[in-house]
Amino acid sequence: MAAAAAEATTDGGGKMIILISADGKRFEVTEAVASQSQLISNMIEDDCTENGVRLPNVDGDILTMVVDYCNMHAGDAAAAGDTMKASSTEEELKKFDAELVQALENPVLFKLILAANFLNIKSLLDMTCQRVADMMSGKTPEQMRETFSIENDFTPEEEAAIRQENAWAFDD
Amino acid sequence: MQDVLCIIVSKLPLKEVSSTSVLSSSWRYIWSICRPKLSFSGFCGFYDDPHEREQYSQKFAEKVNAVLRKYDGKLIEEFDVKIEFDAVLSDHLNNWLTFAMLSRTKNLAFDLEPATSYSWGDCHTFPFHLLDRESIFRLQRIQLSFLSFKPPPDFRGFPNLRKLDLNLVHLNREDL
Repeated sequence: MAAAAAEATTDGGGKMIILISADGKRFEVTEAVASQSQLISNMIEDDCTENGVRLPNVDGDILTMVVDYCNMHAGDAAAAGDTMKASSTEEELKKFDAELVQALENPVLFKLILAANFLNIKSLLDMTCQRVADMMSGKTPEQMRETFSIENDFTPEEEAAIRQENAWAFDD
Repeated sequence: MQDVLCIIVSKLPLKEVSSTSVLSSSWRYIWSICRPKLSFSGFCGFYDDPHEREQYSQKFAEKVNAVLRKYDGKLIEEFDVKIEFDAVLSDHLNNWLTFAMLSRTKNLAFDLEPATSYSWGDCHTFPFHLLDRESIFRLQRIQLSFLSFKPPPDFRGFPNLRKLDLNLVHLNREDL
């Protein structure tokens, strides 16, 4: 959620930076949390996060999820030295991740994928794409189109030709 | 957007990968531009009769070859084969290794299983002579099972190898 104004620094995370969503919502996070985004990490390195980071193609509700995810996963690196703590958080993280992707309706899942791609958060991108791949597995092309509302823009002749070309994988 | 579709396709089983080409025009060529993981597994535990097993293995090899023809000249992330070993597969295995090297594979698995009655004399020898300098440099993960692994005397190791998984592999202590 949009973080309340916090002190400029905290113990673990160092400086705070502000992320601003497309609809103007502001999220205050530590640099350590935000750095899980390669995009923002590069911006921090280049010293251009002073006035907040505007993310014109990420909506507030999606950014909320992204920030939650990053907050949850920021412990990864920090807890690495502490085995006991790391193992308990690992399980919590898995549960958190599974619940996060499974609860999502497709349109929200796709927005989250695009946000993860734009922000370049590899683990989140991997996890959300894996969710889509899991949903596609075992489905026929027709079922895939239906599940993901993909519009078939081929003519019947074109489609038949592609199927013919790919007959190697359609036979069992 | 294409990047994202690529990531998704690279996580799909092969059958679904090919299905994606027929979905719509934006999916049409995604399979061919992303580096896929090609993974083939067969199971011939049903066949006690060596002749039937040979036929099954031959058919398996033909299927693999049909897929590889589609990927000819394309980059592959990973190449895995898992099957009970039959002598009829020997030449195919060598061809597949050549294919994997030409496709700049980083991860390679030849996960062979011995038939119920086997001797070490039956097992396939990993074809070191098919690896060139670049492919030796490129390989990051190798998984081998039921193979004879005899590096040539001048072999200097795989410099970028991060994981080597050997199971039932015939080798000399010195070669490790």
